[in-house]
Amino acid sequence: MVINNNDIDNQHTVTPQEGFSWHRVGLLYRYYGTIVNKQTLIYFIVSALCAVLTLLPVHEMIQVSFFTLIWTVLPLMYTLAPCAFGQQSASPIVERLIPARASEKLAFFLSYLLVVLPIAVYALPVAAMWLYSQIPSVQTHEMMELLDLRASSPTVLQLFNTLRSVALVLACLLVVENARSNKIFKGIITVIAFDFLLGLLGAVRGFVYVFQEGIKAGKAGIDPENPHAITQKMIEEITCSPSYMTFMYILLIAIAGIMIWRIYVTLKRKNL
Amino acid sequence: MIELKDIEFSYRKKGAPALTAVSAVIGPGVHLLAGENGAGKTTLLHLIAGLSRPQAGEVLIDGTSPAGGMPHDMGRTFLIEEGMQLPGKTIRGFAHLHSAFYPNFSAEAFTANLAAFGLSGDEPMKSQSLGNRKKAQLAYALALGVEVLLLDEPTNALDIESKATLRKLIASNITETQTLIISTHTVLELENMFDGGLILSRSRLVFAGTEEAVATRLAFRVSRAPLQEAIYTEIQPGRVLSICPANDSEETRVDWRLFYSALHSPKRSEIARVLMQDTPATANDED
Repeated sequence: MVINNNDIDNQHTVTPQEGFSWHRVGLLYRYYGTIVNKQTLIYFIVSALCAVLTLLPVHEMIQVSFFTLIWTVLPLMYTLAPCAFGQQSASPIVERLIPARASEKLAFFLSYLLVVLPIAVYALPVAAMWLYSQIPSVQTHEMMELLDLRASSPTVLQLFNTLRSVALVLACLLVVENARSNKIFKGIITVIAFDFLLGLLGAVRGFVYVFQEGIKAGKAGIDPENPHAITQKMIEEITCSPSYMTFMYILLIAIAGIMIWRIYVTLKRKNL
Repeated sequence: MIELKDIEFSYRKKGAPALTAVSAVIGPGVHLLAGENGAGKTTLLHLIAGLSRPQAGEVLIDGTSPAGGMPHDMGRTFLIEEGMQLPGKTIRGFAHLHSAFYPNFSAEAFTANLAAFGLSGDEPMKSQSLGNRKKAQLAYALALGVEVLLLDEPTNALDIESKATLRKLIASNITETQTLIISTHTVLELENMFDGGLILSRSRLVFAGTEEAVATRLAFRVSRAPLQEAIYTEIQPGRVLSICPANDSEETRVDWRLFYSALHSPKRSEIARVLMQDTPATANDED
């Protein structure tokens, strides 16, 4: 054994660059197993409960309330999912020492949050809604109108909502991974603030629409006493407006892309 | 082999350096890392573990940087820090999730280490005392089989018996090819374990060398009266501890605590001069 600080060898051993390994991504699933399994199970149970609520033979108005509640709770639950990684039961150094590439850690987070968890959250309630719509006796219920409305929403709008959820999840993950303290609290605040900002963009567009198109709507023969018709027309026109939807798509994709890049940089900085 | 090449590190861009001009080559064996509070011990451990990157100079383990983000390089080191908390309900649960990243992990050694500390590994971590949590962490770290194991104050919170057990476990777990660096303020508790030492003072490495290199040049003597030939003397009740230039035929065990005190005293340059005779074994002498 030699310790001699005047005898530094300048020759470097060259080790081969290690590529991305799905095996290590699998090991990360195992390492985060406690969090991942617990969260997936809880989310699946809540989602199963929501599915049962959808199919419960209760009064149709109660069913409409359930529907509203379910489709408020599930997206919120989903977008806040990264907060689970903010539990500070262990020293952050332990995670930083894990010998895995930053890209592998990113692959773990993205595959879990954008593939595994959405299935656990949405599969059963969506299946329950479909089952409900197949029951002959409920075809005249108010709930069917809601389901029809949801089913008839343009694909662009459904895609927009999906992108919005993805952007929110990524923003939450970025904050949770970057924050040094109060990770969960900061994650929740981020989701609320970010969702509010995105909502504000839609509100501004709607406001502009009302001013620009309000008079036209009157001329087109839409009853001003019927706000539902005006709103419906506004949604249709906005969602069919290529410039607005293209702008929103580009914006959300850019936000998601920036978030993914920032998460990667954060993980790399932790890995060094 | 760990190479520290002219390392400069500070936590803030224009802040005071946490480490400056640190250079050393550290081979396999058990090494003491000592220094006063704020000398830069933990910073140095973080740099070796790849948790930080120096602003200047480089840290290399077998020629590659542990801070390069490559799993193979990262997997060569592990650090147990003071107050560190591991996730999982039990240490066995944690080991099951975490050890898969370390191909040299020995489940048998882990079980044996736990048993030596009187633990089964299935004790709930949260309800355990600080000492028991530390024992479980040490049992795991020593079984990982990493090339470089870094322990920050490993004896803190351990009872007398457990400290003796830790000494035995270090001796039985650390192989000839592994490097163990122990940062501690309580050198006496791990006496006679060290093959070498790194001594920091005010962000500088004032000594890096093997026990052999010290023992062949310096003699550590205990006497009733001060010795004339002593370079450094410490008077204690009923005895005098001295560091003297060693005779050709003489080789005493290094008293690392006394050596540390001497290197933090005005006698440092004199000690360095003796150490650097023939083949140099010390450097970074500021005086």
